[in-house]
Amino acid sequence: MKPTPSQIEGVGFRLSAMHTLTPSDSFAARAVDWPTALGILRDAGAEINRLGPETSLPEALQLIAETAVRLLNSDSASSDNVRAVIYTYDATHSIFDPHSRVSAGEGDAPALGDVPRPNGVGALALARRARVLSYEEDALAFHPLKYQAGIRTAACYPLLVAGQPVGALYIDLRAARRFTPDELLILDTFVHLAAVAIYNTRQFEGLTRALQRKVDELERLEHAGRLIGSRLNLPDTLREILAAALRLTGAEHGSIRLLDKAAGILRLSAIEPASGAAQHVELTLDERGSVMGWVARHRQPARIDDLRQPEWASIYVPLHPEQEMRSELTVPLLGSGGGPEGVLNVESPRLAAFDADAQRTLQALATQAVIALQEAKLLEAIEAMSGQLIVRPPDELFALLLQRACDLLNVPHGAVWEMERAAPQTLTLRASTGDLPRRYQVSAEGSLLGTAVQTGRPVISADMRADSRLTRRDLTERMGWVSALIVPLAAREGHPRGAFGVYTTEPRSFSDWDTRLLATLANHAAVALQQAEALAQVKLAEERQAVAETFAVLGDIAANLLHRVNNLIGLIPVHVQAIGDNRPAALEDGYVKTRLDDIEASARAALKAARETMLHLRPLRLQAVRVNECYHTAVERLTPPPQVEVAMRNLNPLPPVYVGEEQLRLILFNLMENALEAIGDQPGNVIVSGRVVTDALDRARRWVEVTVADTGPGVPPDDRERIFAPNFSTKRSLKKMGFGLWWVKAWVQRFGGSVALGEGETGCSFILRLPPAQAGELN
Amino acid sequence: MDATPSTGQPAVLIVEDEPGWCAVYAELLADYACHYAVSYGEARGLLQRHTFALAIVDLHLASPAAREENRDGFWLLKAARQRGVPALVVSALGAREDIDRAYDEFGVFAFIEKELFDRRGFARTVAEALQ
Repeated sequence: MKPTPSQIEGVGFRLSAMHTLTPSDSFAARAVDWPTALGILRDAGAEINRLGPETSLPEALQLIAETAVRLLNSDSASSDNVRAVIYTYDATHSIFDPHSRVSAGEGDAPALGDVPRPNGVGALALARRARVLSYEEDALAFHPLKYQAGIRTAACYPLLVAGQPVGALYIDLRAARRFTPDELLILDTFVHLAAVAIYNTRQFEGLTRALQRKVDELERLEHAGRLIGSRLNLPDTLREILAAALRLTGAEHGSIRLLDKAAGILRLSAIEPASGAAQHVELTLDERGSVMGWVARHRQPARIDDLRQPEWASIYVPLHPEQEMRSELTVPLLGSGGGPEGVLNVESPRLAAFDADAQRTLQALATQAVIALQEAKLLEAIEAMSGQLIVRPPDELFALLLQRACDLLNVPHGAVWEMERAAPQTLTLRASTGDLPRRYQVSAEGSLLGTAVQTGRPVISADMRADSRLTRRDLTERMGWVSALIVPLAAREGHPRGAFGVYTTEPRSFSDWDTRLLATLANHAAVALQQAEALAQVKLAEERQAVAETFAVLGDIAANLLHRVNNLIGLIPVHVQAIGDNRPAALEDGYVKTRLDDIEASARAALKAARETMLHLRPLRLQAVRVNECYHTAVERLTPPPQVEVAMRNLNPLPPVYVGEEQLRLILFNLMENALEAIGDQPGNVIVSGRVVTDALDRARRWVEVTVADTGPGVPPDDRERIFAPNFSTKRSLKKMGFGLWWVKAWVQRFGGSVALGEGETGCSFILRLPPAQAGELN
Repeated sequence: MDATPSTGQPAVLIVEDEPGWCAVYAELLADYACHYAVSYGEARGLLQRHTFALAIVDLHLASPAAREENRDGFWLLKAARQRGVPALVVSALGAREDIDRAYDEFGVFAFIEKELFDRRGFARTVAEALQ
């Protein structure tokens, strides 16, 4: 009696109960064709062995099902109508996958609805880890559809690998009989093979899927990278980064906040969707102030499946107040040296919208984004610098460059070192961040800075404290510097001009990108130095021109004045003499004689005063002059006190200089006289020394350098800048006869030379640079 | 006119634009036949028309002709030398280069600076020049 579907429903279907085995069902009657069966097993084994990454799971399952059917049909005379059905098992969720059904031997009427039930035969077989045979189970309900499909005998094999279920194999017969021991033996053997095949195929599929995912992810990242890299300015780059983040994670909401390092604030720099009342709240780096603050602070990503969790709900700052977000993924943007540059964030109104893959992808994007950001920032910096080169004075440019370098490289300190023109072996601090001593000097020989300058290559010191190239340790110790990156500053012709260094107070390794970036900024610094040099030259030339013109005009006026004075006042003594010659009786009156003598003396004094005063304004006559001779005639006019020694050093071997002789004599006289005034009543000395130096910028050019140094109190720092200004007057700048340091500067400039105030711990020195005369010019 | 006119007095050309100095010369050179010129143009004319035993030249005249360079006295020294007239310079400006040039290029007999002018010394120098 065949049960109706209504009977089957709800009560299940007991194959064993519906079917009473008769003697004719005896398995003894059925013999396995062993050679054929073994052959099929061998072939199946070989085929399963060939299953590779290119085989899909359904293909493998189909092969297994068909092989199972063939194994039981090895007896060609069999009319059992064997069929095999396989369902795979999802161990993660502990259920059979209903979509995984594969069958063989079903013909045109597959029983598609026979999905394994939670308490069905498949579950029992897995639980027992052993096959279940329909005729051995009294109280087991096989799936009713099987009976409907004409099945009378059924077996269910668990497919296990290392004790873990991968599926179940159902072997169904339309014949009402028992499986023979041989058949069961064959099937027992086969299912192990089948389980391993399924396991391997699944593993392959998993790997292939993971690989494909990676390939997709890389392609998408690469695409995003191309798009981001093609943006030229910072806002566009930021927008593109955010757009890529949304595309890659499937999110619709997100933002980028960049860190304002000076203020310690995360500023909103891009947001999507851009419309609506976006939260322009400035977030601090406080880890309890916001999720983004936490991420930036800890330099770690945060993937939050539910923002309502108390630990996040308390610090979450809504992206868009009008739309509630449930999950968030935020990654830090880590720049050079691992320091935070900002945060990249995506959010979703769904719970757990972002998985581990999304996090990985976003972190990879963040890495790319930082590079693009740095490039954009560098471009922006270069653009800004280029615009400033012409209009800003060099010191302001250096300050800007240092600020940009520190910002881009995440370092606390930076410094520009300039090679001394007069002493190329010395590097002087030209500009710096922080409180560094002005005009601090380092010897180039063997030092970190010197190595960069002399080799023309970047120098990295991972730990300056242990670096033997650090020749002056006081500054490094005072500033707490640990690591350094130094790049050379080269002029247009490649001559070294100095070095650009950045310094950290924590151990830091510098990358190629760091080096390239600093080198780029250093090029701008070098241009600024050149600019400064050119401006100084122009200024000097203008000053020389102005001085020359002024002197020319004053010279004319002075000459005319002196001419007139001598003509008119010069007559007075002559007339007095005439009275004596022609009216000697008049001079017998003592009073008259005394008065006439006074008149003559006053007139002669007036003539002398006029002559001396006008001497400064006399036209300059450049000629080859020996410095030592000028020194000697200048010293003759001096009256140094006994406790002060005035001496010269190395003036005799100097080549002649091309200057105005009388003017050089006056210059030396006045500098020495000023030095004596400065020393005052104290013991001390005034030394005039000389040497020949090579111009640091123009190696072919030489100067005769004459230094007037004293042991006096030195020039106060506030006065240094204006000591050469007209009308500036101190003890150092005597105004006798209107003669001050401005005159010294004016004359030296007219010679084509320069004068500078020297540096020194004590005393004061004036350094004159005079042009050497050409050979043969000295008479 | 000859260097020694009929009076027997040697003729002296005095190039000076300052009346006070002309008065001094007039007094000191009373024994000579003095011809005065206040400008180079006038002096050149006199040199051309007369014969002089001596020329006393102020190098820097404030005349209109000398306004630019104010050193045209050198041209006059040149003209005097070409005519074989010995020259004595009396100058209000005693620049070394002027003195060197006057002696080296124009062979002047003496260079006297007005600032240091001495009546008797001047008279002696003139007498020497005319010997």
